[in-house]
Amino acid sequence: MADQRSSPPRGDIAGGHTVRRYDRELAALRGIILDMGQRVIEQTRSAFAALVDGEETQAYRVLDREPQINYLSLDADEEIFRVIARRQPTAVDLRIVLALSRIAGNVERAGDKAVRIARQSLAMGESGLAPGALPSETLQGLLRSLEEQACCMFERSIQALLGFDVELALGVFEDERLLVEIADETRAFLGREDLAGFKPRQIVCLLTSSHALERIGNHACNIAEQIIYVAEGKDIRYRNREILIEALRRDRTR
Amino acid sequence: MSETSAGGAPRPRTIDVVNASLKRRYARERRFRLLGLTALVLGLLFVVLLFGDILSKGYTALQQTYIRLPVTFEAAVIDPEGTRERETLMRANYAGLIRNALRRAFPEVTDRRQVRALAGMISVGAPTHLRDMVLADPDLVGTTVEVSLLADDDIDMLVKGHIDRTRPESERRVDDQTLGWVERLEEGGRVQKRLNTVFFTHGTSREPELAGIAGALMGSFYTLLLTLLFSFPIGVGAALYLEEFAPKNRWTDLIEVNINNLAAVPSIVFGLLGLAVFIGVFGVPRSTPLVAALVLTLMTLPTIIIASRAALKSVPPSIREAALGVGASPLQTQLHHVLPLAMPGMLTGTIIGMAQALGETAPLLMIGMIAFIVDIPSGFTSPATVLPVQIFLWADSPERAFVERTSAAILVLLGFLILMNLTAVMLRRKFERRW
Amino acid sequence: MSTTVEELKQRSGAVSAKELAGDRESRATVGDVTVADPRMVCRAVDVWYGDKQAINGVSLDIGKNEVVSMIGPSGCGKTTFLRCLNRMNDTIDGCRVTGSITLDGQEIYDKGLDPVPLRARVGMVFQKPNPFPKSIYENVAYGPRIHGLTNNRAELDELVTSSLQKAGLWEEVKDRLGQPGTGLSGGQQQRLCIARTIAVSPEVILMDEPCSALDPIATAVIEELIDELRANYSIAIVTHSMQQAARVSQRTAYFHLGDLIEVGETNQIFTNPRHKLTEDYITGRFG
Repeated sequence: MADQRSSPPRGDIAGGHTVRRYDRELAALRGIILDMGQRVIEQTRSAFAALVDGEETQAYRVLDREPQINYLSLDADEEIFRVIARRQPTAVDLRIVLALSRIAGNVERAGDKAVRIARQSLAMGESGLAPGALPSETLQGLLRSLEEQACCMFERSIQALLGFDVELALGVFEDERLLVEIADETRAFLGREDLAGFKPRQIVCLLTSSHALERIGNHACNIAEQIIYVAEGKDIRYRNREILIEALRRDRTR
Repeated sequence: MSETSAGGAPRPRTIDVVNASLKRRYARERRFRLLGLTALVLGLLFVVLLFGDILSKGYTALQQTYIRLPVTFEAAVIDPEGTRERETLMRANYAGLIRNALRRAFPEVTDRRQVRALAGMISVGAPTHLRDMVLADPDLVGTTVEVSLLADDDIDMLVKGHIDRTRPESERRVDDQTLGWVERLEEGGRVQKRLNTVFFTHGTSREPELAGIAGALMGSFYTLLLTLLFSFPIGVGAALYLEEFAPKNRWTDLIEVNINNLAAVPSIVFGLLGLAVFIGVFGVPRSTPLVAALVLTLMTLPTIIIASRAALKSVPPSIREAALGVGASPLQTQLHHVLPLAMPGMLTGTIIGMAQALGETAPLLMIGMIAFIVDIPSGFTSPATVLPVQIFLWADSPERAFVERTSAAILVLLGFLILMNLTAVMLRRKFERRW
Repeated sequence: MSTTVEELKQRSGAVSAKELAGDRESRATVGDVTVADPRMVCRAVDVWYGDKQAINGVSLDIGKNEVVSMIGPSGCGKTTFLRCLNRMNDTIDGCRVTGSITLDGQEIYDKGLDPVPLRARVGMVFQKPNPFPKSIYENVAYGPRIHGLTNNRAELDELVTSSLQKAGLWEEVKDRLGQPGTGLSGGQQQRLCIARTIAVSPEVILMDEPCSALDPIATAVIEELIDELRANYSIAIVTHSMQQAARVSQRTAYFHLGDLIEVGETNQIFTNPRHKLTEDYITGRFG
């Protein structure tokens, strides 16, 4: 992360100002959010390990590290105020600042979801589940692919932030359908009546966790929206995703 | 912020380097100021020397020696027939009256040669003075009146101390006999020094005690007046057109170069031109203020045009844009806004040009202003001379008395020049740029 | 600007291949140069200073009751273009203007058209406040007087008063109309110049960086005044301050090296410009 903060990549749309200090400020702001994003991914992975593999220490570590993300989000807010007050950003810079502000919110909330998963894993342990394994292989597989999908989307959306990469962002959008499918499948599985070896309390925990994972994926999509907003200058929130992806792809291949 | 050079040795701090060189820099500054001061003092010294010399030689011309004698207006000499006719009174032998008065004052002098020498002490203008007295008041005839008679220039010089009385007779312009008479007159309180009104009221003359600058002054006045009337409108007009209206092309460049060159042409060339063109071709009467003014106009025009153009250039273009921007026509822009702002500069240039014209001699010599003109000119076409030419003429005269008159005339000329330059400075002050 | 070509490809559909090759001749303006209700219409205006082309085929409308701002780096031709609109460039030697500029449908560069009355219809406010070195009253009264707009002293007094009022200067100077205009503060002088301009009731007011010599408070006063004047006049303003353009204008035109690069609603230009050069300029990436 450190190198990110010091020098933005050449040709980056956030760089190239005549006042180089401005570049550094924007890079620093983005660095904070990238840092947050990395931490959120780590948190999610740790929390998920606690949930699926029953590693209680991981769950506690997640809870311990949560405040750092919150502090980073406060830092990001402060940096945003400063840039607006001192540089009066216009056009693409204005969009970058605005988008980074929204992205910071999304990342922070994704971090909350990781904490939620960690809490659920602790609740599972309290309710008497043996540490180390979920009783159902299928469920484990479903949860793993859901986690994989959500983390992959989130990681890519954070990566897209590096160069405001529309291509990566579009990839995130496209993955959303798969995410929803896996989430639906997981919910359906957990909703089956003949689920053996689970107490209802545990099922609630697992449902909450899978929902949290899905939400992390949704946050990734929101971040991708902001990246497209910066790069294309179009606000695409609350629009039909399929039509949108098609339209954007068509624009880009033309 | 302390940087080290590549060699590793720490670079000396800037302030140390600066301090080290400071003394030298200040010393240089002091030397420069001293040099400037020296130049200034030298210049002032020369000015003081020049003025001092002229003043010391010229101030005595403000006084004139008179000899007071009881003159008897003998009826037998003036008007033997007692008709009191004006014609008779005019023609009477007033010089005889003076001779008689002198003889009465020096009864021991009887020899004809000596009597003539005695009469030589009195100016040849004195009989005219007596005549004027009688014409003004015919009742004087037959009476005896104490009259102050204008002394001859040599006596004047002697009394003023310009002729050394202790030198041997052969080296003196006044012989021992006359010196004795003068000393007797002085003892009798009959020699007086009075304000020299002749100098300011008379035209020039061969006799120094009768020579004045009134004619030259009036000539200069008429000439300058005409020069101003000719050159100011033409100069300002030309400058305005060249600066503001003329297209910038090769022709206007050529004109500009020529104007600048004209300013550097020796003034005598203008005199030759005036002689050939104004007198030769157009038949303007020579040695008149008119022809002098024409020549001087040619000479001062470049100065006025250059000064006026500089004044116009110094008017900020924003004023022109402002005027054009509200829809003033180019001429309105110039007349309403640019010209008033440029006027002080133009006037300054004009006055300096006029001062130059006032002091000019060479071209006027060529157009006959050097002629010996006794009468005070009465108009633009009457023959006249001007101050600098008068000075030139007097400076050429051998009489000792002309030296002080030359200096006095120079003083008058310098006075007018200073006055004109002061006016220029005042104008500039008064209309200091206000935008 | 190594990324320009790529970015251009991404951003603006209207860019031609020639432009990508850096060919100045055919640099098309991005955005709509026309307005529904134009006061002045400029089409394919070229300006030459001797052999040097300063403006390259600029087309732009100035609508009624709108403020059009022109921005761009120094030497981009925005002031030159502005000075074409009231033929102020006529005073510059070797300046040649081709193309068409019309005011209410009348060609202003017609041979027969006199620039003097034109300048009464298209007034101008300059960068440096340049009141005449005369009294405040005379400054405002000068225009109406030379054009003969008033019949008597009372009418002239009223016109001077109303002009000063419109320029927001009346309250500050009503007690000292006889004092020289050059004695006012910079901001007041500039408002006096605006009063002088509107005293002849022009249809269009051109402003050439009117606030560049003023402090922020005086600038704000002038900007407020510009916004009020919009109700009665068309205003074209050249400014170096992009924030000022963003604040006062309805439409913005971006000039670059004599080309009109982009025209658009000010909102659009300052949030989402379509041309890369525009964006680089307004975000401070120029050069």
